[in-house]
Amino acid sequence: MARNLPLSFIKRATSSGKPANAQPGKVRISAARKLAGSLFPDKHELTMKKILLVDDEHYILRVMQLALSRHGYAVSTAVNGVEGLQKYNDENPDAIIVDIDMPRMDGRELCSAILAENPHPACKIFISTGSALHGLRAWAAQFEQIMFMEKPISIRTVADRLARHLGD
Amino acid sequence: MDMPLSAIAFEKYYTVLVACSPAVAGLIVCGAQGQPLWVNSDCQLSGSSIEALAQTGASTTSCVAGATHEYQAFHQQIDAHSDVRIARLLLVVSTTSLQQRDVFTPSLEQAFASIAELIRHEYQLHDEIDSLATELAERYEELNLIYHTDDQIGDFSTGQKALQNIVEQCIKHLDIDMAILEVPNRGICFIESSSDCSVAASADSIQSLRQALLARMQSEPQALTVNSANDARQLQLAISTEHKFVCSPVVVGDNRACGAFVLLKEPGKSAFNAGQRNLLGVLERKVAKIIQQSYDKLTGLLNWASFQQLLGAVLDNSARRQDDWLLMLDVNQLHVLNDLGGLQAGDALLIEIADLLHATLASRGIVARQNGDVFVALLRDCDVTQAELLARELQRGINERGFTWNNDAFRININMGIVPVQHGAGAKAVISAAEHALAVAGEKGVNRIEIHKVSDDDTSARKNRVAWVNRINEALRHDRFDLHCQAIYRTTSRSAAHHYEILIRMRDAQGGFVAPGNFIPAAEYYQLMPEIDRWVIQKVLQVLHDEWETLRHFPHSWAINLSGQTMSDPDFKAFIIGALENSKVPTERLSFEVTETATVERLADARQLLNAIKAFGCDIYLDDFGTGLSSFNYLKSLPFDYLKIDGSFIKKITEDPVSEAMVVAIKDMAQVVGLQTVAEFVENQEIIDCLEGIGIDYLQGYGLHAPESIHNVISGLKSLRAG
Repeated sequence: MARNLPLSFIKRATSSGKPANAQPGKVRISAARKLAGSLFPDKHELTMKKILLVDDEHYILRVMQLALSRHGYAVSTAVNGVEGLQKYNDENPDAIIVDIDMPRMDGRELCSAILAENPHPACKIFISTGSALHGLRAWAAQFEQIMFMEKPISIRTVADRLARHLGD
Repeated sequence: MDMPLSAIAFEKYYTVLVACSPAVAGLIVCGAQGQPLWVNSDCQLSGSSIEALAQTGASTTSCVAGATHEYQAFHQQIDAHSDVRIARLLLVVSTTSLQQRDVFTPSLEQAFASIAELIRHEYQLHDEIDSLATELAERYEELNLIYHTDDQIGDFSTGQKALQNIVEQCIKHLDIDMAILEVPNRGICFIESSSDCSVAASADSIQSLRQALLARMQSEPQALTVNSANDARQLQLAISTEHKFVCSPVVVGDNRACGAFVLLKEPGKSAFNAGQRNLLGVLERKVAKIIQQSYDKLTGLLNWASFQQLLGAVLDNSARRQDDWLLMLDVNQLHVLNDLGGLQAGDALLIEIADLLHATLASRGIVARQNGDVFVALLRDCDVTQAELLARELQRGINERGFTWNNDAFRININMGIVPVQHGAGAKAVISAAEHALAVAGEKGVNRIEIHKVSDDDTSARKNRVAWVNRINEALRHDRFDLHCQAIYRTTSRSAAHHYEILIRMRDAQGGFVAPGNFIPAAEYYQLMPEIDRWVIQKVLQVLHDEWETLRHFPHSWAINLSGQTMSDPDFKAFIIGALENSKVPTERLSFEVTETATVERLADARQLLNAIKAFGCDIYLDDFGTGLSSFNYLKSLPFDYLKIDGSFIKKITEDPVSEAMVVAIKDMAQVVGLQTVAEFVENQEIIDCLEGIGIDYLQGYGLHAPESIHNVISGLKSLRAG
């Protein structure tokens, strides 16, 4: 959906809700491209790192999406593990930030599914949780690919870690 | 980037418009500057046509010709407030010809206006949510800042790291450019800048800002928020800076240490608000708590634990080349001042001394307070001469300065022990050595400096002390202590002794005598004095009993010294009562000498003990009177009979008018409170004449009688009786 993308990504909405450059759909892409970077992202925008946020708390998604967008990331969101896994496969994000407690498929299951497919994914995986259960940190610690963060998350810290891990 | 606009799903509005009229062919959303941002997915217009329509400005209609149709676009402005443009909507309607005017029916026009209003409303909601999200993110940062700054620290170095972390976390979590924490008289200064800060911490503007804020915090410890030159003027700050800042005083416990904690933003950034000022206040309290854990609350010097850690670090540093010295200092008779003026007076003196120590020695090393009246200083990179010079300078400073409380002037004396900080020795060994040196200085009198130069290594010195303990214990077991005594004469009749003071000598395994100056410090250091004093009491009672047949014909009393350690030994009272009760000689022939220090340190306990002894008819002597912060007041509340004037006054009495005046004053006072006076250290006739002139009651000293074995004395008495 167009609403989940930053303004610079506003483009011809397609019936599938996918970015126009990814799935042109019915849009006459050749004509639209002439629109001088307004309806379509410019070169810089195309090279933006993609972050996928997966959390069932909408306000968390909102807070993080807004802040990470301001830090120059292209951010998409999902509200449960199933949607998260779908978007992970579709969008090939550079980093995924996953909540633990979610309906349908929780964060652990999502991470396990991602790692089952590829034990060493290029995508950086961050676990974020507000749960005080001690086991969670230990669970995350067994995967060197998974980084653990506790809520309330400091966006500045997340941005620092993303910058470090994504080589910005 | 206009975030709220990006959050709006325009497709739904387009769907509604299509339902209103089949002629609707598209909806174009342009940004505030007119650039097209969104268009419905099935729009048949070319990109250039969309741009052409968008660029027609704010007129109500525009039109373009398409391949099969003509298109007319109707415009609606969307303004958030009266002046702030959010977006422009273009409703594209297809017509058979550009002349067709009726496609924009009143109902479509009304629907389009309503859609524009809905979009404006949705924009505002998104804008509000974004503001809340931004605000929430900032609160999260503040929470993380609080969570990730500790104020419980283990030791000095973790405390310093915790302080640095607080400053670093400010930069990490807050939208600021520089954080400065400095508490000059604790030697604390941490500065961190953000990666995009354009001004260096060393820049003149920052330096002058720091100085001005420090001065302000020290004169007026109130938090300040300055967002403009006008704010600075209103707060009467003599600072010309374009930076925005919030500054909190760092007040540590005693209110004497005052530093500044400053958060700074470059011009152009948002203003500091009350929330950030309060947050800084919370952090400041963490800072103060950390500082308090590493520094002595009263004096502001490093506390003992921190000092030990730093000393350990110095000792661990194998690269150390120069000599270091550990100086330990105690203030003589602080308890008297506490007794006279209350703890406030004692505390005020400790603060003065700490300040002087800091001023004299801080540039040469590390100064700390051990506890009570004991201070320590690690003197770095100096030879023994320099260490001694520093110590003398300090001593002179403290002596000359004196101390005034409630208009009463006190002379302040200190003792110092100085030992080399020898590489390879543990911190505990060096500290023990310094404590020992200080004890030796104390044994020698007041205002003494005892320097243990680098002669033998510390291990052998320690072994030496341990050896002393064994020798003393062995001497106690094998009765290798001897009783000596020195006669005390009535001034007016010096032909025969009035009474004797019992002294102690120790013999080594080979039978040679060991000077008291050698074994007493070790005995005190290892808390053996109570045992030695008990031995003396039992031995004296035994000797007197053995010789009672002779002694009962003489009026002498025999004065036994009780050390400070013995006086504060909780079991001693029961022991002395038992000993006196079981005494086979009349107890009124015994007397006891106690020092001011021992008595005044535990006044209530001492009073009880002395009264108990007094109940057996024993006289009590107050020894070494006049050296400390003596108060005549407490003399009245204790059951003293004799006052022994300290030998240091007597020795100089013929050449030093001050000493003479002191002796006269003590004599006059003693007379008023009904005490007899004894002068010690009477070494020659000149002194005797002088003391006689003053009217001192009793005399004691080498000029009259040198100490000799109690058996010799008794033999002398026997011959006297036989003769």
